[in-house]
Amino acid sequence: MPSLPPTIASLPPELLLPIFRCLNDPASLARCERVCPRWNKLLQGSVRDQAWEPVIAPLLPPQTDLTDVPLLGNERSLKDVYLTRLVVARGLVRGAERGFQGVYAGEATLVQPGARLPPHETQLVTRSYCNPLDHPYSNAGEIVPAFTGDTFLVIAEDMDHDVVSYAFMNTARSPSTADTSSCSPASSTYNPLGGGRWHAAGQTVDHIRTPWLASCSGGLHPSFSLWDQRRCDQSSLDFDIAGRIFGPTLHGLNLLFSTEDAVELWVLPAPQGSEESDPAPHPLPPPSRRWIHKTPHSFPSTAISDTLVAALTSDYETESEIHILSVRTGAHLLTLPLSGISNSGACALILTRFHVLVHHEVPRDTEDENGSFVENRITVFDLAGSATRIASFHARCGALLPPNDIHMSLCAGADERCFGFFTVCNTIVALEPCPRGGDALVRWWTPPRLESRLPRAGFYELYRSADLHMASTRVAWHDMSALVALVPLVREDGVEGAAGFGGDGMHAEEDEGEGGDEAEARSIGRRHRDGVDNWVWRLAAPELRDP
Amino acid sequence: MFHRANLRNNSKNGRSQVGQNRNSKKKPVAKLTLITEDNESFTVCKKVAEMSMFFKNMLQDTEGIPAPFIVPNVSGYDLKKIIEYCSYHCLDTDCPNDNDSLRSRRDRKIGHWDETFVRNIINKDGDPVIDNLVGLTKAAYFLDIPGLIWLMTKSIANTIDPKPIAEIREIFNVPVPSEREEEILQR
Repeated sequence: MPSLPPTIASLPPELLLPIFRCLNDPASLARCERVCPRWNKLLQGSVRDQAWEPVIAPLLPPQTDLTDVPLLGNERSLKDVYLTRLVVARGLVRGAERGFQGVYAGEATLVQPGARLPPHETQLVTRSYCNPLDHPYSNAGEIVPAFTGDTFLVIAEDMDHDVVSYAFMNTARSPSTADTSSCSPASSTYNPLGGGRWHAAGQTVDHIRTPWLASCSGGLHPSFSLWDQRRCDQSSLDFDIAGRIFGPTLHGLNLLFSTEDAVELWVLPAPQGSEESDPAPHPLPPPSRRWIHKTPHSFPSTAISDTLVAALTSDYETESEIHILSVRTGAHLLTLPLSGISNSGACALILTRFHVLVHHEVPRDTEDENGSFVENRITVFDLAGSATRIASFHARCGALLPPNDIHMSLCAGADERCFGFFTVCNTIVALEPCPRGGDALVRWWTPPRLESRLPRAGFYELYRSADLHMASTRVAWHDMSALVALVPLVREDGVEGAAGFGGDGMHAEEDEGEGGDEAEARSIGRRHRDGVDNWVWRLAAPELRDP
Repeated sequence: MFHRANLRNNSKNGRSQVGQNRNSKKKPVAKLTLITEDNESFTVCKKVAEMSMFFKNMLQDTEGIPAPFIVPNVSGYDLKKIIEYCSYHCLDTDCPNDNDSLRSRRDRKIGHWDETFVRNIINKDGDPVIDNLVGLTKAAYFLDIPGLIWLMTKSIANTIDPKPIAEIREIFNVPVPSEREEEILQR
């Protein structure tokens, strides 16, 4: 056998996965899993589950019957739930919901399209951070898979009262009971730290499987306490820009906070050794804290990758800037200018290895047909080459969208693909994944010919219904497919499908102007009708190319 | 039997008429000149080029036939094979495409011509090697030719299928895992 270049072994997943899928014998797949750790990781929960199961079929043709597929068990007594995060790991869909009464997290088994996701047990993770309805502005419910696929971390924040709650939830699953989640029930522990300003509510994890979690048994890891105490010495966090957590990267579990004057990155280092080879509990090193960047302007949005942090600064009056920083050193690498975002500050960032993609609002000189004076734009910067703007185009939505609707509906896809979903009134709009990185992105997204490229480029409708309005959309990637969770919006009188917030672009302003906190709370809360669950759809990537 | 469309190889390695459309005198056929990263030049008719989504989009973007187009990341050898494949398949209607299901991709059989095509993929010394398959796969991926991507991945999969782990590592030049890694993999 000739000696082959090592590049063959490092074929990108886009090429390795199709190879694995073409294997004729399941035993071959099992052998490939044992070839090397990289292949093993690649095959875990991705190819294997699907290659030998019923064929993945398109899930979202226009005539799709919107049968409800619950992602998180809908707590009937819980009003105003907002889906905050969708995570897919090891064949499980995990989501977090937040509402006025707490943060809820749950999971569902990933199933074949067209089938219902089985109901799962909704687990109350923590509700100690706020009293119902007293603090409706909680920016809570971040959820990430921790160092193992069985564990995820939920952080709840109530910036109004400077309270942070967080909890680990372990969903250790027995291989023989794949459909049974075993989240430990919440046992909120009131644990004031730092002069009573910060409060931490943690819980003991029942199913301890990793050294990292073992170190948390009996409550929170001491380093968290230290971390909290030190945090409380800093300037107060801006109400609108609470901390965000990002999943494990090369450096550990990253927690990125943007305050009024700086971006801070905290890193919880990964445990030494792997969980499989070193089951013995040992202390986790304390989290390292890195000052990433200081600026007099606020940071409406941040994003992080293994190597880079992107932070958008804006004073809402003049030019905005995107700062690209090094995760490892905190050094400032680049400044990308972004002209004139609207004073709503609504923007979202996607950061991949090659691009920064910004979804933001730009003021309009004239009123559009929806009565809106802002337009949504998507601007793409190239990081790999000239670090310049390579595309900027109108997002084809005239309605004034609340910040959260934009903010949370974009996600960076797997394999450094760019991908985005967002809701526009009653329409879900998708950005097409970029199959080969920068070149394709530049070529296909170059304005002004964008719309003529459909459906090969740009964005287009996946679903439109005159009767159903989405309050929020969350997207996760799983094996080249987009998993989309939708939360239907209902009007306050309970009529599903009413225009509601974002429906015609004017209701938001009216609601906010109605008076005080209650009206704003309604806007933020997005009324749910009792019994209306979240939906999860699976969209195979090829389907997106030919809607 | 792959002389289905117009193709002329102007490479320094030789001038080969791989196919001539007999109707070309009656009706001019739009042609495209491609220059590979190693500076080989190929002229190919539009119909063949449009098997590649890359070229198809490029042609749409430029609204016609552009000046000689440099194809980065693709060698002359790979492009020659790609043109050979596209010339044969450009009139096919049942080529594998992105919309095929996983099962159909796996179960689809390689046709006779494709089998010969793969068997003739050789290295510079004239030996069939898997790195040429991989190189062609990468090129096909770059140029976005779904049928050829499937053929290449299927062929590589067929190479892997009956092999034991040690041989797969050898084929793909994967270093032997450490004892610790091996233990984890065994579990």
